Amino acid sequence: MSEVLQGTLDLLVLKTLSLEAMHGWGIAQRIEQWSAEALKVGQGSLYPALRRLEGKGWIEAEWRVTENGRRARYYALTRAGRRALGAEVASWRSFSAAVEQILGTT
Amino acid sequence: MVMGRLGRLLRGLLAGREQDRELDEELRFHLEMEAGRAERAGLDAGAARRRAQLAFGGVERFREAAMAERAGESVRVLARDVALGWRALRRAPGFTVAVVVTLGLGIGAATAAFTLIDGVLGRPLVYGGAERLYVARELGPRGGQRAPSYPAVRDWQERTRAFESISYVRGDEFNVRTPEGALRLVGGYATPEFFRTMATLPLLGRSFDEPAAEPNVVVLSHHVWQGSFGGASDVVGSTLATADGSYTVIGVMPPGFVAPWWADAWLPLAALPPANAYALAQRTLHVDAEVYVRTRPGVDAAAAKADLDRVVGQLADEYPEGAETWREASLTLERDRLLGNADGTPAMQRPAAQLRIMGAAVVLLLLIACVNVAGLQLARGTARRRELAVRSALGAGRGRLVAQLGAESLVLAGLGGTFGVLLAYVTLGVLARRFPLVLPRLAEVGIDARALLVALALTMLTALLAGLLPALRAASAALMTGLRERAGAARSTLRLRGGLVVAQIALASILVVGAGLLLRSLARVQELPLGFEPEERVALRVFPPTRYQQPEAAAALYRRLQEAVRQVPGVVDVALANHLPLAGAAMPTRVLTGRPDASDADAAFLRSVSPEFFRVMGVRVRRGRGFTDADVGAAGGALIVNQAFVRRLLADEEPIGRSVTIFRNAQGRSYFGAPLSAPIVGVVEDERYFDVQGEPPPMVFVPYTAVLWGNTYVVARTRGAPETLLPALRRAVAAIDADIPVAGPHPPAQWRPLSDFVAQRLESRRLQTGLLGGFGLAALLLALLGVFGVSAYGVALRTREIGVRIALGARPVGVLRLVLGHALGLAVLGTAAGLAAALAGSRLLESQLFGIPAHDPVTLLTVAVLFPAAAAAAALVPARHALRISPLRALRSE
Repeated sequence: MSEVLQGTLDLLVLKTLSLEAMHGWGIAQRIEQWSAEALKVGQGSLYPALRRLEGKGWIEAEWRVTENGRRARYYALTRAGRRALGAEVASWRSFSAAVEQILGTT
Repeated sequence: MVMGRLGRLLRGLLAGREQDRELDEELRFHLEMEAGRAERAGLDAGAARRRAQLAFGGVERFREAAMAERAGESVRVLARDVALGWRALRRAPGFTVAVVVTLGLGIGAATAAFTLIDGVLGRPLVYGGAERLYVARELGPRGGQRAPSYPAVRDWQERTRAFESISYVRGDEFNVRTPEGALRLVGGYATPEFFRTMATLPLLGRSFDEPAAEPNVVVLSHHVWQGSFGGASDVVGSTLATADGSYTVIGVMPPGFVAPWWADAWLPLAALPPANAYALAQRTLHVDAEVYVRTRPGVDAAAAKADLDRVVGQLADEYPEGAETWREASLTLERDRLLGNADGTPAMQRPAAQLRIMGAAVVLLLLIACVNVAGLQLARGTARRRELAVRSALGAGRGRLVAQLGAESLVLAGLGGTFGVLLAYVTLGVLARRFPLVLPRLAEVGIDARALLVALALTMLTALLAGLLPALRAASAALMTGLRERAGAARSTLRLRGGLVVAQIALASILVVGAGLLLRSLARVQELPLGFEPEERVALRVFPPTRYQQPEAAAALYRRLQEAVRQVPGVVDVALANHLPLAGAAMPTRVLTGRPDASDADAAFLRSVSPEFFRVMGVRVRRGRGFTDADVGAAGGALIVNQAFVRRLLADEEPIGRSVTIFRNAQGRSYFGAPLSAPIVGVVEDERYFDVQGEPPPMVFVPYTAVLWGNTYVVARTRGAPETLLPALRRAVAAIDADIPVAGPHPPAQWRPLSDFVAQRLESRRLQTGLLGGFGLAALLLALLGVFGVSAYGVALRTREIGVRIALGARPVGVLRLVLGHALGLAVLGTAAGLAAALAGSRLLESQLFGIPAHDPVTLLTVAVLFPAAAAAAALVPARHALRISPLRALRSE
């Protein structure tokens, strides 16, 4: 199980939130499940990333009550975040394609 | 865009506290969810939480990382650390006060010393282009100097080529009538070139530069403006009334304009009183005056001197009377003269030497303060080990801990620095007010931006010196040992604190050696016989208004004064004298002894006194007799000399009955310079005359009527301390003539106890000794505190060991030896290092010592015994503590 790369974490968080608003722990769980536990979200980088995205205005947060009656901070994608996700996904695709090509040629 | 970013930054800073709380809650939630998952996976609750924490990678570190993302974070981290440090310090007020006071003393002393050194030696003078401003005098045989006559200076102005301007200043009194009595000022009567030569603009109004255009104007000095005119800005344009007419104030000069040093005000030379103006016109008289010259740009000192020498030589050829051997000029930079760097200033009085010693002392004091505070912080670090260990276990990195402790130390240094600057400000104010004469330029010295900058730098430096080592140590100790203390780390802390104490004792012993040397010198100086009795004596120098110019009128006035003062209740006896010992003034006369080995350099100081003088002053008559009323006004005349006269001018031959010739050098008298031959009828004890430690010079006394001075000291012997009689004495003088000045910036124009004259001569030495003594005492106390601290720590650390020893039957002596031995060892090591350094550095003090060598064994031995003994005493309390350790409790304690 490998740590999520710093730059890609933002992308994964945005992708996760594009489906529904979620709290931090949920985001970490969801990424691990989706990647079939291949990716581990270091919590030490998750919350800084959330603050960073919040700072950019791509996500917004509000306190809500969970199904177990606990208060938790839920994050949701903003309009700007949705636009950014599109751009990030496109740039990730072209980046990974480039890496793939290099790896394929040797 | 920019605005948006700025707005976020501001919001980030402001919303910080709220976000802290939110983040805390969010993280707690995450931790719980994680623990819940682990529990479901089959772990028990405690293990689940631990695992959750482990997976989380340390709440603290992670919190930091999350928050560091926020805008303006680094500023806020520092601000928060500082706030945290402040809170931590408020919980430990004793520690905080101790550190702030210690650092404040160190930083304050260093700031004050820097301000003094910079202000006195470093700053440019108020005179523009001071590198071209010289004082010129005529140079005679064997390096003798004299003022050129005014006619000669006029010739210099015309014939020299190397100078831009040459100006002449002659002193005379300038007595201003005020409602409180006459105020005596000394006027500098100056040629029109004077202010141009000094190149200084007035602070207020204007100065004068037109020849003879306006004789009745006066420019005030800053100290008179402040002291006698209350610093009022409307003084310019006001009129000052004197017995001889009124003068308009046209300006005030800035502080630091002290040319010549005795001038309280400046007037055009044309305003000089007629008697003085007559003396001025005589080419052979060489009345005392200052000649300030400014060389042309590009002319060096040697070329200027050569040019002036040429003219002085020409004039000596043209007017040979009294000028045969005076064919050269001396040029001294005004800056060197003012700062006491000029040749001929005794090393003891050179400000540079005194300031160097003070600088060295404050550096030592500051170092001691830093070492002391480092020791205190180490001790506190040990006490806080658990707190730090908890923080470190929660994931705070080593860098975070160091930064946090560093911020704390910065807060401490900041408080100490603030306290120090206040202290320096107060100290300098007191120094300038109470001891205005101990250093030149004191009036110009003040805390300014440069001094504040230095204080800030010193604060940062002390924060680093005193805080860094303990912070690093505490942080790594916290990381290393986790939550449990380990003996090894504690032992190394003990060693480190011991090392600091050794350094502290070494530094302190250097200071105490210096203080001891100065103290012993002061004692030696004070043991010297003065040759007169200063206690229960009080004196006023009477400057009669011009209507008493004729000798008969003056003599009558002096007699009336003597009588009036004698009537004041509490006065025992009254005498008259032209000059008093330690009052600063003297008039030399050539002495013709007729001896085969006589030289034309034979000279003594001329003292014109009333018959009561020796009795009133307590000067003992050693041989022959004193003056009697019969000597006053008698035609034959009689002379009395002192022992130095017999020793130096008569080669210890029988003086009584021998006739010698002196000259009647009373200024303003028609007989000025006329010879007086008379037999010696008595020999009196030597008085210390110019200073307390110098060799007494030869004196010759004449009855006051034989050489009637233009002014006189009235000196009274009183019953008990004279201070309470001063108002009655002032009234007695004013009742005779309200124009006789009884106030003024120059001390002799007021009734003053003779003991003040002595105190003033010792002022600089006492101040220096007191300063170094105070530093030494403070350093000694700090060092002893250090010893106490490290001993107590050592005992606490070895509680178990000592308990075991006691249980095994160790006697109290053995336990005492253990504790005291440690303290003594540190003290001996420190003292040895300190004494070695003191020996190497004592040359610095040599110029200030009197009667003892720089390696005075008494001082060194005293310090060598004092420090270890005091250290042992300081360790006694912890040692007694050690004796009371109960073996049982000790064994349980770990």
